[in-house]
Amino acid sequence: MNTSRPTDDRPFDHPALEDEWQAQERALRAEREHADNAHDDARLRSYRAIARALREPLPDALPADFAAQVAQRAALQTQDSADLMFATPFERFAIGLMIALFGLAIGTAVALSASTALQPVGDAVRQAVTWGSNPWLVALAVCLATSTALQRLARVLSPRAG
Amino acid sequence: MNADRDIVDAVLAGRHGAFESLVREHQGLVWHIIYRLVRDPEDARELSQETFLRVHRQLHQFRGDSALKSWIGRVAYTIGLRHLENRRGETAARVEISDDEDGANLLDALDSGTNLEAAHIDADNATHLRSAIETLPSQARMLVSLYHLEEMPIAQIAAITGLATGTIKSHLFRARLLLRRALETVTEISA
Repeated sequence: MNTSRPTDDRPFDHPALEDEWQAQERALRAEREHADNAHDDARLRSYRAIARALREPLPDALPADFAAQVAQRAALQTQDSADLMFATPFERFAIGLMIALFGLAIGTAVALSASTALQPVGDAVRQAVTWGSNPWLVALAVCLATSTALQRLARVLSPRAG
Repeated sequence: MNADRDIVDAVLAGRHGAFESLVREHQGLVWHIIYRLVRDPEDARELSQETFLRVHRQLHQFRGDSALKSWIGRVAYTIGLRHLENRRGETAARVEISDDEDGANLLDALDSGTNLEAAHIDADNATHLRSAIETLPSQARMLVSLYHLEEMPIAQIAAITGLATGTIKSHLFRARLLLRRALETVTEISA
């Protein structure tokens, strides 16, 4: 019985396959409608038994409180995201301040190393910072210190702390 | 569709109980898809949970072009399929009808086989059928479950799986033919 592979338009291009498909569908409908099976032939009886088996509930199920559990986890997930999105005004302010300081530090470093016109200012800054022979180290130290200080402050002031 | 939009808007607005209600509404479908794909109950529970957490994260992307049921079903299907592929390291879930075991050959085997005219389909056979369902390929098992148990139209199954309707029909046809063969084999043995 040679047939070509089924396609979307013609899933069963052989009459025998189409006939078999129709028998499967008749059995499915008969089971859904609880139709009388007195006049079913053997093939239909087989397919009705198969349709019955396929309509049986699965042997395992989700726990009864599954929806509540998932909703709880989703709420926590939202909370975590909100934390990352700097939920409190203070946290938003702190992050903004850090970004501004970091930008300032980078700008200063670039200006000090790139502009000879600002050499006197650079010299003054270098003198002001005792270990500041490398402006990048200065910028890094300022950022780390600011970040640490703000994190500690946030823990103290945040309403969710503790 | 309005009901879909209402529940989505309620969840996005953070209304108390809205997401739990959404989960309760669709957990049966998600369970059927994932359980039938992965078979292991523990994995299926975890993946069902993962499905709804992803739905929760991505719900703002739901535009209402399709039913919410199809959208959630597609998330479940994607997660279940990815799990299968990771577990097996291959694409066994995407079972194609092989040339040597296509519907026509299966039908030939049945045509030359048992006459069930007088056979009695009893409880033992029902048990045997349940076992035979478990031995179906993952994807076919899931598709017959959506079609028979969820009573989902083929077009909606296509929306969930991304498979062509003809391909889905082929899977359904072949799976039911395999089950018929399994049923008639055991009936023949016991006759």
